[in-house]
Amino acid sequence: METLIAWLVEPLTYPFMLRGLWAALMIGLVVPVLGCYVVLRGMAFYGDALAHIILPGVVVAFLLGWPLALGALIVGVLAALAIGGISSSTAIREDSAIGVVFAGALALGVLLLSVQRSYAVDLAHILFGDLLGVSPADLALMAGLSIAALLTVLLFYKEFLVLSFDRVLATTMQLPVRLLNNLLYVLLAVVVVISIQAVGIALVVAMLVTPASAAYLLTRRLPRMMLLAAAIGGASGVLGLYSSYYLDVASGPAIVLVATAVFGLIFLFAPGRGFLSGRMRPGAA
Amino acid sequence: MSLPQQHDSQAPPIRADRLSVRYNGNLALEQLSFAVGAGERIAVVGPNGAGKTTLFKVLAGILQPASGSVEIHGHGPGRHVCVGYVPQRATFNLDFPVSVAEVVMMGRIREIGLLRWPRRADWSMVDSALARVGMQDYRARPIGSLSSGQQQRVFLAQTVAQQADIVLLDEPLTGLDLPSQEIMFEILDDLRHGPVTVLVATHDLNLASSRFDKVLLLNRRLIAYGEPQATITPENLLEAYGGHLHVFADGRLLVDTHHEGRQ
Repeated sequence: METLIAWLVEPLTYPFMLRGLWAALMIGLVVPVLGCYVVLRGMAFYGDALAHIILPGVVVAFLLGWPLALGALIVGVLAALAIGGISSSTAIREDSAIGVVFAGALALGVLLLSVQRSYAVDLAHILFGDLLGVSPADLALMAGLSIAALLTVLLFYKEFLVLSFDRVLATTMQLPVRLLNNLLYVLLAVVVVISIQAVGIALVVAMLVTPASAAYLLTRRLPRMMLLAAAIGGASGVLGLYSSYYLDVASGPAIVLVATAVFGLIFLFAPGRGFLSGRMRPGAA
Repeated sequence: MSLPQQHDSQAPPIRADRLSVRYNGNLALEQLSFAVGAGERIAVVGPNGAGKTTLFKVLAGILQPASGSVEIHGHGPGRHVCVGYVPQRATFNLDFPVSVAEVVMMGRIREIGLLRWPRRADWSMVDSALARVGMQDYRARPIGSLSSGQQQRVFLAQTVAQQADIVLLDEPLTGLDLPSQEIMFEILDDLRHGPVTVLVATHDLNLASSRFDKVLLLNRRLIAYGEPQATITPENLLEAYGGHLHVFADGRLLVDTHHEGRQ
C-alpha cells in the first residue's frame, strides 16, 4: 500500500509534473464530453481537420511571442465559422470543404515553421503535445476554457440534443439552427485548442472520438454517455501521464494509447453491443 | 429567438393563396389555393414527386414560398410552433442515445425556452402525451429499439406534447400493418377533439376516401380539393396519375406506385 502511495506521489514532487497531471485530468474530463457530439453526428473528420487547421495560428502566435493557445483559438474559431459558411452556401460537400481548408492551413503552418531555426523540436511539441511544458498561465487558461465549454453544453443541452438528433425537428420548432450549429463548432474549436497542449495536433481527434466511442458502446442515454466518456478520458489522462513518467515515453501518445486500450477492452467485452457479445448472441451472423 | 406568433382567431388554421414553391430549382408546387378548417382531417394524395412533402415543408416553415402566400392561423409560417411535422423517412439517427420520453420532450423545447430545463409539469405532459398514443410502457426505451409503427406513435406524442394544433404526417401509413393503421386512426380520432387539424400524405386511395373529411389531390397543381366522393373521381385521378391507376370492378382503386413517377 505504502509503495503504491509512494509510486503515485513521487512524480508529483516535481511542479511541472503536478501541472501536467492537472492538465491531463482536465483535458481528459472535458474534451470527451464535446466528443460525444462529434461521435453522434459523425464529425470525426471535422474534429481532426480542425486540429490541423489550427497549426498556422499556433505558429504565428509563437513567432509573435503570444500565448500559443490564443493564436490557436482565433484561427480555430475562424476556421469553424468558415467551414460552416462554405458548405452551407455552395454546392461543395462539407467533407470536401473541410479537406480544402485543412490541407491549405496545415501547409501554411508547416511553411511558417520551416522559416524558424528550431523547426524540428517545436513541430514535434505542437504535433504530439508537451504536457510537461504546461505553464501556470497555460493551466489557468485551460481551466477557464474548460469551464466555459462545459457551462455552454449545460446551458444549451436540450437545444444541442434536438439539433444533433433531428435537424428537421429543430427547424420545425423554429430553433435558431444555424446559430446553434456555429456555437457547437466554436465549442469544438475551444476544446481542440485545450487538447493540443496535451496530445498535440496529430492526436487531438483521439481525445474527441476514442473515449466517447467507448462510452457509446456502454449506454443508450446521452447524459450517461457524457459522464462515462469524461470518466474514461480523465482516467486515460492520468494513467497515461504516469505511464509516460515511469516508462520514460512521450506523454501525449501514452495518454492516447491508454484511451485506445480502454476502447479496445470495451469494444470486446461491452455487454449487449460489444464485439464478443454480438458474436455470442443467438441468431447473430 | 423571436416569440411564437399569436393566432388570429378569425383565420382558418391553414390558408394557401396562389402558393408556388421551388425545390432544387424547379417549381414543385404551382398556384395552390385552398383552406383547411379547424379539426379537419385531410388526405393529401398524389403521385411521387407531386409536391406532397414540399407542401408540408412549406407549412412547417422549413421551405419558403417562391410566390403567393401561405398562412397559419392568419400569419406566415415562419414563427409558428403550433405545427407538428412528422417526416416520411425518419430524419433522425436511429442509433442516437435518447429514450422515448426524451424524444417526446423535444416537442416542448420552445415552450420550456432557452437556458431552462424541463420541469415536473413538462414531464407529466410528456407522460400524458405518451398515454394518448398508448406508448406509456415504452417511455424509458431507446427510440431506436422501437418498430416503425411505434416510432410513428412516439412522434405523434411529440406533436401532442408540443401542443401542436396542426399536425402534418408524411406517409405515416406506408409500411404499417392493418392493426397499426387502425391504432393510428384511433389516435387521430382522439386528437380531432383538440381540435387538431391533421394533414396526412398517403398513397392509399381507399383509406383516403373512407377515413378522411376531405381529399387534396395534388400533382404540382391542385387537381381537386373537397369531400372524398367529389374529389376521387376517375377523371381527377387520371389527371393526377396518368395511366398508372387501376379501377377494379368493385370500385376499389389501386395506384401503381411502383411505376408511377418514373416515366
